[in-house]
Amino acid sequence: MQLQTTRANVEDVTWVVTEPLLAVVAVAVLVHAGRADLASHALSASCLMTIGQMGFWVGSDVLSTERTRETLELTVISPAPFSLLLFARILVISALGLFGFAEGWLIIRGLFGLTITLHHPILLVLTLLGTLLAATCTSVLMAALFSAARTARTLQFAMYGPLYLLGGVLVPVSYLPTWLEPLAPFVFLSWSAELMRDVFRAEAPRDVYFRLAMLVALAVCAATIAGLITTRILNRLRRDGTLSVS
Amino acid sequence: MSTQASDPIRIFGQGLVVGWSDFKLFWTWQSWILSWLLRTLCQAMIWVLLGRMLGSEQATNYLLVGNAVLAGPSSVCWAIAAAAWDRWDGTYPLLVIAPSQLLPAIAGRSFVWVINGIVTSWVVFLVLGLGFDLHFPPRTLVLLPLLTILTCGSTFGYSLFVGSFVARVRRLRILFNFGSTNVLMALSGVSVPITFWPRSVQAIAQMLPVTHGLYAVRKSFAGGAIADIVQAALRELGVGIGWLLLAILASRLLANVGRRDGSIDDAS
Repeated sequence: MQLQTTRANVEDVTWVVTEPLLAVVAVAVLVHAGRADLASHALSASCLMTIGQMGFWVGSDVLSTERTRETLELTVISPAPFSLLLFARILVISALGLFGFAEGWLIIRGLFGLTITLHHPILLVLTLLGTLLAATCTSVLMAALFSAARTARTLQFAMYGPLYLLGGVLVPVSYLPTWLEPLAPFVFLSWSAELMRDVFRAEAPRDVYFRLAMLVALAVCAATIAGLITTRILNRLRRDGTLSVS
Repeated sequence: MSTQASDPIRIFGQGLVVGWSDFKLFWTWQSWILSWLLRTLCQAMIWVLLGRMLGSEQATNYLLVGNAVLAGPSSVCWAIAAAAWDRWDGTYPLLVIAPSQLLPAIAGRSFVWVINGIVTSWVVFLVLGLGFDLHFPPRTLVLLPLLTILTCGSTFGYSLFVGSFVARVRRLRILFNFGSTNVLMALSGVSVPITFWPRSVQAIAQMLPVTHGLYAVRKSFAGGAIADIVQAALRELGVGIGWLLLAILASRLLANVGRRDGSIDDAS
C-alpha cells in the first residue's frame, strides 16, 4: 500500500534525487584537496542522508497525513496492530533511501572516475540493514511526536541538521568540537557512518558485533518509546473524540 | 483606481504583508532559532568540519565563507516552493483576474524568504566565524552585509523564474527548492573554485546567482582591489536582473497559458 501511495506521489521520492547531489559536492572538495582516497566518506554521506531524509521527512509525516486526510480512524479500528502498520509503512519509505548508496557509487565512479574498493561486503549488508532498522524506528518515534505537536514542521526542520552533524555522516565525530562529541554515541547514524566507512578499508574492522549491536539497541530504544507514545496518543485521541481532528 | 491597482510596488508591499503574516504563523522567534537556525548552522558546520578533516586552514575558511554566504540563497530558494502556495490555497485565479500583473503579488508574498536569508547568512557568518576564528578584515565588515543582500537579491530573481514553472507543477516544488540549493553549492564556488569544473560547466556557473557575489565576498576577505569587488558585484547584479526579466516573461506566459487552457486553478 505504501509503495502505491509513494508511486502516486512523486514528491515523496524527491530526496532520492536531491540528496545524492551532495556526494558531487563532497567528492569535488576531496578531489580538489588531493584526497580522493576519502571518497568513501562521500558515499557514506550520500547513502545515510538519503535514508535519513526519506525516514525523517517523508516517513515521519505518515501519521500527521493520516490525521489530515481523516483516514486515521479507519486504520486504528482495523484489526492489525497500529504500530506494526506504521512501522511497515515507514520501513518501505526508508528503504527507498538505499538508492542513495547506488547513486553515490555512480557519482563517484561515473562522474569522477574514482574507484573505491569494497573490502567487507557482508559488513556492508549488515550495516545497511541495521541502519534501515534504526532509521525506521527513529522515524516512527518522530511520526508519533510530530502527530502530537502542533508545530510538526518546525520540529521536522530542527531534527536533521543536528542528527547529521552528530552522526558524523560526512566527517567522523572525532572532528566535532569536544563538548559535542559525548552526544554522538546516542545518534544511531554515528555507528552507521563509522561502520560504512570501515567496509571500504582493507584492514579488518574492530568491535563489529558491538557496533552493530549498538545500532540495533538504539533502534529498539526508539521503537519502545515510539510504541508507548503512539499508544498514549491514540488513547487520548479516542478518549477526547479528536482522532480525526487534524 | 486602475492606476492604483496596477501599481506593482504597492501590490508588492501588500504581498509582503501577507508573506510576513504567513511566516509569523509558522515561525516564532524561539522556533526560528531552535529549528531553522540550528539546522542551517549544523549543515554549514558539517562542510566546515570537512575542511578541518582535510587538515587545511585554507580549505576550512574557504568552506566556511562559501557555506555562510549560501545560507542566505538557500533560504531564498524557498521562494520557489512558496510560488506554489497561492495556487495551493486556491487564490491563484483571483490573482490572475486582478487588473495588475501576477508577479508583484507572488514576489511580495515570497520576499520574506529574502529577508530571512539575509539575516540567516549574517548570523551563520557571526557564529561560525567566531567559532572557527575566521578573521574579518575591517573593510569586509562593511562590504559583507551589502554583498549578502545582493547575493540573496539575485537568487530571488532566479527563484521567481523557477517558481513560475513550479506553480504549474506543484509536485516538483521541493525538488526544485532543495535541488537548486545543491546545484548552487556544487557549481557556484561555494565548495570548490568554479575552475575545478569543465569549461562548459563553468559557463553555466557564470549565469547562476551566488557565483559572482560570493567571488566578491572572497575577494574582500583576501584584501582584493575594490575595483574587482565592485566589478564582481555588478556582474551578480546583472545576473539577478537577467533572471528577474526572465521571471517577468515566464509568469506572463504561464498565466496566459493557464487562462487559455483553463488550468489556472488546477494545482496538480
